[in-house]
Amino acid sequence: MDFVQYKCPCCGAALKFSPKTQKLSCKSCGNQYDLETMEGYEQEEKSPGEQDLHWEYKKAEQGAKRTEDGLYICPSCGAEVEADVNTVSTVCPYCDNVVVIHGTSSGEFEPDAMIPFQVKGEEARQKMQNFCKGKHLLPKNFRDRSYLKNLRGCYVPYWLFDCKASADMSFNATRIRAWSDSEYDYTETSYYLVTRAGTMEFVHVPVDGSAEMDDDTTESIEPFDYRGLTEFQSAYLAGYETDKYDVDAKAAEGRAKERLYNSAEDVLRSTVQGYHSVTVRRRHLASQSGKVLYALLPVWLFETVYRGKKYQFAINGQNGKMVGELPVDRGAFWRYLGGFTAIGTVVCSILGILLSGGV
Amino acid sequence: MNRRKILGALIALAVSFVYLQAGIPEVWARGNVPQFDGWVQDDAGLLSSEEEEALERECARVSELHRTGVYIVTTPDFGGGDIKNWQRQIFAEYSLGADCSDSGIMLAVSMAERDWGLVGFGAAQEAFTTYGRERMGEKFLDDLSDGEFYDAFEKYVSMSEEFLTEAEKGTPYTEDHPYGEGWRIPLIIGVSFLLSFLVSLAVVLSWKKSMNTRVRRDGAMEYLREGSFHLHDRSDRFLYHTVTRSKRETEDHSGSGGGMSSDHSGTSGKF
Repeated sequence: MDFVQYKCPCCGAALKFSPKTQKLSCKSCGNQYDLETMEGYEQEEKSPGEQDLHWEYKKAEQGAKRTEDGLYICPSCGAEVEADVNTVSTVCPYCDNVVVIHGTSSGEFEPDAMIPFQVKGEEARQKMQNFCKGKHLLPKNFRDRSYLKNLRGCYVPYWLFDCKASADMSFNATRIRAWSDSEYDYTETSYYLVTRAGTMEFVHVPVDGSAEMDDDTTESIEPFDYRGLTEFQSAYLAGYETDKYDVDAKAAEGRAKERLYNSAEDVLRSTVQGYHSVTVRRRHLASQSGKVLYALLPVWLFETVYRGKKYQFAINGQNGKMVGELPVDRGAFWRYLGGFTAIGTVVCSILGILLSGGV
Repeated sequence: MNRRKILGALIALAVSFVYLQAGIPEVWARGNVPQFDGWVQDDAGLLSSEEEEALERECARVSELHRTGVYIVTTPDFGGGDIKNWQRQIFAEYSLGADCSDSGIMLAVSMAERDWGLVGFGAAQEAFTTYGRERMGEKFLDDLSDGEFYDAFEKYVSMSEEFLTEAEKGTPYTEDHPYGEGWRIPLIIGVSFLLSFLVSLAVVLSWKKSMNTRVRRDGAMEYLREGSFHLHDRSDRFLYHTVTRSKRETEDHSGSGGGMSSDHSGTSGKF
């Protein structure tokens, strides 16, 4: 014989059906629940939680093997050019011509799409200089601009995730009512189980496919305007460095899933209104016709090392948005803090003494 | 002649009787008569015997050191009117301050209407100016209001000594030589330093924050296709409610902000 047991949502004690009230009542905390409410609550308890999203890869597992020696002949001057295993194109150090390495930009490494550079190198340099302006804590020796030589235009490999998402989430919500009598202040907190389900479509959620690139940096220069997305043409690579991905789409899925879940939660949460507090209880997302696109997106990069720490700056090569972390001169930090404090103390003390009747 | 003398004596007796009826005894008739013995007279029973003894010792020490009587008197009910007059009657009736050239200071507390009074006598009036008495009142009034009578009386005795010491130097506390002046400038400098440090820290930290513009994205809202969201299921299910209650704070401070009134030698008010 099967026993059906419901637990009180408030205190977790077993509920008992009361023939008198036709409700489930809790002897422990005194709350009573409609049968319909408890059935809905139990159903919600059994609903599925977070799960992996299903993506369909456009490309089959194929691709050319690159040669072992890592050397390529420049078509312009015939010099031997060294290249990293991930390099798709690079600049010949002898004749300054661009060498596009066909062997790596084909097959599985050939991008599905790309956005060509629209921000020029000089513009990028100017943006970097402007970025450093007015930064009082920038080390003096960092201001000599020699780091600008390290500017390089780079096509960064990205995975673009598309999906029609079916979201089903539940939230714990509360409403609070307060009143008083002559002796006590009362607070009544009402607890609700709120569920929302809906569909939404995400287009080209980017996750960078380069292990070398800092994820915070590549996400900070978003968003790219995908109206500028074109089919891949190797001619666009001329004059710029290009890396092929070394983080595959499967490995990038986790970050895409995280971002999609967060946004789906935001969208559904925006429909939960009229409560004092709302906290997520369960998140479930299912992707329909999920697709992944491999794209090269344009980024201007600076890298420099200051006191043993690597600093990376990036400019969105399409719209010029600049991000990065500048080194902080600790000496300047304490000098400014001490100086401002000293000046402020003197000024405030004089004003305070004068306003309180003089010495 | 004898008749005239007898008549004169009768008239004098009648006048004395009327004077006595209308004067000091009238105060006693309306209120409790203190049985003054020593420096502290706690007829209202606000102090424990240990506290009373400690205050008695301290009052005696200060009084003998500065040749000015320092008195504390409490009563259940002084009988109404102006508590300062009641204090002056007591001072005269018991010849208080006799060992100190009639110089003294007296703090009186009456519980019926929660009155307090601080009156200076004789030469002590120079040490306890109107400004000084009001400053003293401000210092112990909160303790009186909170029922911390021992603390209030201790402050009174301690401040009395400070006021007497300063008066002996020829610089009694007045508006021109305020009490607590020694702390004013260091306090202003300390507060100025603290404020300046906090403001400066906020400025420098904001500069430091502006050095890093990298922000990891939480979501992907920029990539949500416009108009693609369709809500197809929603439910808001009430589960239960809880009620908590907390005792309201009652305002039992009846007179801490009630103000003070002063005349030439005394200050009084409600606590």
